[in-house]
Amino acid sequence: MGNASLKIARSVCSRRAGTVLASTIIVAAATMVAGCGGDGTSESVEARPSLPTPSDLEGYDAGVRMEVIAALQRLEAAETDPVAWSRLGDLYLAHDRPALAIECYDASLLLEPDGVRPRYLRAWAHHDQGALDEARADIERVIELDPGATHPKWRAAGWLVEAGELEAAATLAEASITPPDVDLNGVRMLASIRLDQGRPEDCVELLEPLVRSRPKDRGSHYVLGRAKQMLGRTEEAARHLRLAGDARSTFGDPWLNEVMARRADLAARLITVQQRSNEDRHDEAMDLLRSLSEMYGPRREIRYAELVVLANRGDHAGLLEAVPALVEDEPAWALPRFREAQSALAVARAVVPPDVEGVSRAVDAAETGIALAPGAVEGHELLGEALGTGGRWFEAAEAYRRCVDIAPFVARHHVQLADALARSGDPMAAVTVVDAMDRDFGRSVDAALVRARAFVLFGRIDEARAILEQCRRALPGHPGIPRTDAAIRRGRP
Amino acid sequence: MRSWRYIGPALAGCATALSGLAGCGDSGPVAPATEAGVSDEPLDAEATADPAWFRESAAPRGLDFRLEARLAETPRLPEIVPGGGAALDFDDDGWLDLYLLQATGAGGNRLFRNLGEGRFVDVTEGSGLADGGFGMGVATDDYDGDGDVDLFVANFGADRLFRNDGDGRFVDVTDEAGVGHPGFGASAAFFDADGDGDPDLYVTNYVDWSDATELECRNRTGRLDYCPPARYDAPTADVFYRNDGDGTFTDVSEESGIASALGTGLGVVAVDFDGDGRRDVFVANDGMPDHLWVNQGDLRFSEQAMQRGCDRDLSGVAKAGMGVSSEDVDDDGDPDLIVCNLGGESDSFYLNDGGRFLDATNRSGLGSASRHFTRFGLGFVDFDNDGILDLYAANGRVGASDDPDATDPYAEPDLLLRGDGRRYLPVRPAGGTDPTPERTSRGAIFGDFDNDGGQDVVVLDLGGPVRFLRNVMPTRGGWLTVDVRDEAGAPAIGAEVRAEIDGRTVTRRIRTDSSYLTAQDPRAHFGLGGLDSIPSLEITWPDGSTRILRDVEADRILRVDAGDRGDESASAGVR
Repeated sequence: MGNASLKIARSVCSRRAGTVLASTIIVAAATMVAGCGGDGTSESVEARPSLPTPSDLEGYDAGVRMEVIAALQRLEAAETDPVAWSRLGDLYLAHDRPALAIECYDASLLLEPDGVRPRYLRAWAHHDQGALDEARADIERVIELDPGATHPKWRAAGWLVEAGELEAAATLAEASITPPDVDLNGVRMLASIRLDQGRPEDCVELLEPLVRSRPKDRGSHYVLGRAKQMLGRTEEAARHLRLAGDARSTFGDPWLNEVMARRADLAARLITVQQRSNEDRHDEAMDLLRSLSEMYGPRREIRYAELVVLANRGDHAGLLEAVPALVEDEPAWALPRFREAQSALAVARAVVPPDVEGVSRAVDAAETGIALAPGAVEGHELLGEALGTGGRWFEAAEAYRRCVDIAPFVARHHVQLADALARSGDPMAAVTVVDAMDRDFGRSVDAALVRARAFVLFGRIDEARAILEQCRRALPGHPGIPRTDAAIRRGRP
Repeated sequence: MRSWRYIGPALAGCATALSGLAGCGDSGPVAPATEAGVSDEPLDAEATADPAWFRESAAPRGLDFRLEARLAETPRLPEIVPGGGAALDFDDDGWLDLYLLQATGAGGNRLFRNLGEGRFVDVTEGSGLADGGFGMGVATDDYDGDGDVDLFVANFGADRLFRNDGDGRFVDVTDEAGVGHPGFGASAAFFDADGDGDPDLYVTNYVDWSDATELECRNRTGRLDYCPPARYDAPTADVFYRNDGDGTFTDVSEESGIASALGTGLGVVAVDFDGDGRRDVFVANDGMPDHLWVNQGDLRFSEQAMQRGCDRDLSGVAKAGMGVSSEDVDDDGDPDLIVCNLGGESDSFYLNDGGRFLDATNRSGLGSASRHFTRFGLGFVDFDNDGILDLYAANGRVGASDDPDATDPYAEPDLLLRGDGRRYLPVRPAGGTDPTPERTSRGAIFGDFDNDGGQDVVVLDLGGPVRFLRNVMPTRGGWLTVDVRDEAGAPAIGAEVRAEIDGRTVTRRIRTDSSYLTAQDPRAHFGLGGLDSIPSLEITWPDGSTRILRDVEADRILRVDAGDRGDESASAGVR
């Protein structure tokens, strides 16, 4: 297909999409001379296909700008390649520029009218912009073109739900469930539609097997909890809702996930740094940070990310050396204080008994961070850990109680609170907390071990030992087992 | 029964207003009021297939106010959220006045007196109301029981309470009343939580923010923009005050349980959701699960939004709750609830089923209708007087649009949805006005400012002049407005009015809360469609006493004072 059929040129700078014209603009973009200049003559428009280039490209995030320019240059060299157009569209879509993305997908579809993926993503972009009729037309065509694909069906079902067309939505969602390789998002979507239709029993029937096979699907726990609420099964509902915590049902699909992987802004690049570090690839993470510093300058997010990598690789001394400079430059920022508390505590705990000065530094840093961000649960948790390490269990319990207040759906904080209460000499309060946990979250080894240690204080050693054995059978490698064993042997938690 | 009326003169010549000629509509001076209205009545109502429902009339009606909120060159969180105001009849002359809050603009807050027929004059000077704080929200009620309406202003900074001394002057009694909380106040609501006859006060707080804690947030292409509240990780507790009955309040946030949960509170309504006779509190939190504080009696509250199904949407999403409105949408006698949210999220519309909530957002058509805009002020209001509530939302983004050339990258058109009893459908022209302006809108105040039976809207826009959207809907039905008063002669906040309309029992509350940062017309409004009268109107005061009026004629404002009780014809004891 030649250029003549590529009818995507614009005569002037498009205000809506903020585009400027023509391949010539690539040069301008490359030299950072973006905007609606006067050089977009009609001759150049007629002669050459235009490339959707943001008029504010100059102000883009450096990493995104670099990617956009590279994609434009690639496209200039292959302007009849529908995939190249689609890839540029992906880049715009990934960076919340749906209008520009639509222009690219338009071009791709002119070159390859039956292209399914660009049409699907154009539908997404239209939907994002509130152009629901266009979105609907595109996704219906996608389903026609690729009837075997499941995610266009449940995606369309989700959009029909928003439009209140629940019956049609349910039919489409049902059609997306094709055994034996069931797309679980189809099941989750159908369950959600059943709930919307006021058919909670059908929702439960769909989701109970799903959460049994995928107990960590917290979003489905939430929907299931709401369905059981409607059915009056309030205790079961409460348990599902607590397990769900603050999770939401998300519906990723292969094409959209691919698009989102194209993100190139600083935040996305820092997520990559964190991922590398979490995978113990700390040197790679540090190399990335160095390149980000060169690209963006000494941004505080980059400096903070360096602290995170240092903490992850266990270089707490390095972190404690680096943190004062960031604290000095950003005195009102709580997060560096929390990292300082974390590392000071790690260093203090490296010796037996824990180093008092290190513990004190951890407490101070956590308290300073909390003063800056009182609602940050991480700070209260670190404070609890630091106070507990210093043997101040009563105060630690107060810190953990604050964690429970702020994040009541996080089971870990309830365990921490119960443990601190037991250690502070109040086993009755500890047992009350784990009783509530059993009721609200279901029984767990974590809670049972705290109960066993609390029973030690009551002198109920046999019961404590029995609980410990149950826990050992259930989770033999649980790190709390040796500690509980020792507590039973010495007669105190 | 009569046919629906065409209200207002149709001056055919002024259809040229559509082509932009001056002299018609709102561009000219205000003509003297006449019995039928003033000269900027609907001009082109029959000239188009879909006539506008509203006509923007602020400037010619004397409302000269521009909300500004810039704090610095780079974005600061408080800049993007203000836009509060109140409809109140401070001089009790039967015409709703307006109090509009300023943030950082010149002149401070302004009080506009309604001279009649919805024509206003600025009477701020000498009123005692020119508060210079960074204004956020307003609540109105007669807190001291002297019969006139007082004003509470929630600020970013210390809040303020203004006592109405009854002669057009207000006195700042914040310090002696003890309600000057210094946080990031947002919406507020007066309501009698303990049934002792005087209104207590609930104030939402948004984020524990200061300039020192501001962050640098950028969108995905690197443009500097406002941070979402979650980025600060600084939710905060709301404040709840007990009215001590002697002009002072006591902060009972801790004892009542309200301080036990942190949030990012913006909108608030205080309504008896579970029908136990005690008013509960719903708070819309921005980006966090919403709160439903169920009143346990003795000024104790228990947060039960999750248990009752109104904390998040059906998929578990804690949306960016902003404005909130509560009316009995399905006419089953209990208050339903709607919360409006961020662009990309739909509204959350909950039908109340005996104190538990069923998410009816999608089945009512509100899912796709609402999700494209960032909605703030909103209200379930019967604008066309067909007896079915419609929905208005004042919109404006909090993150810049992707249009780099936009004059105001946060501007969006408002949204007007017509209720048909089952679903909500967008009205064309969008927002009910022609042309449809795009603004960064925040608070929306609903009320009948010209007492013509049509519900008007006042919209506060960031960086722009206030808009007064006069209801000029040409095919409005009949109406009845009920002005219920308490023993002191003030609006009887918390009273309920039930009207028999075409075999339905329609319930409306006397209240001023709802929407976003604003206080509403306290009168109960009923659209009557083609009815000339209604057979029965029952008023229940907060103390449980009732009065039933029979054969009430349409198209009137009916003032019902406390004191007389019982069952009588509409002509007795009302003004």
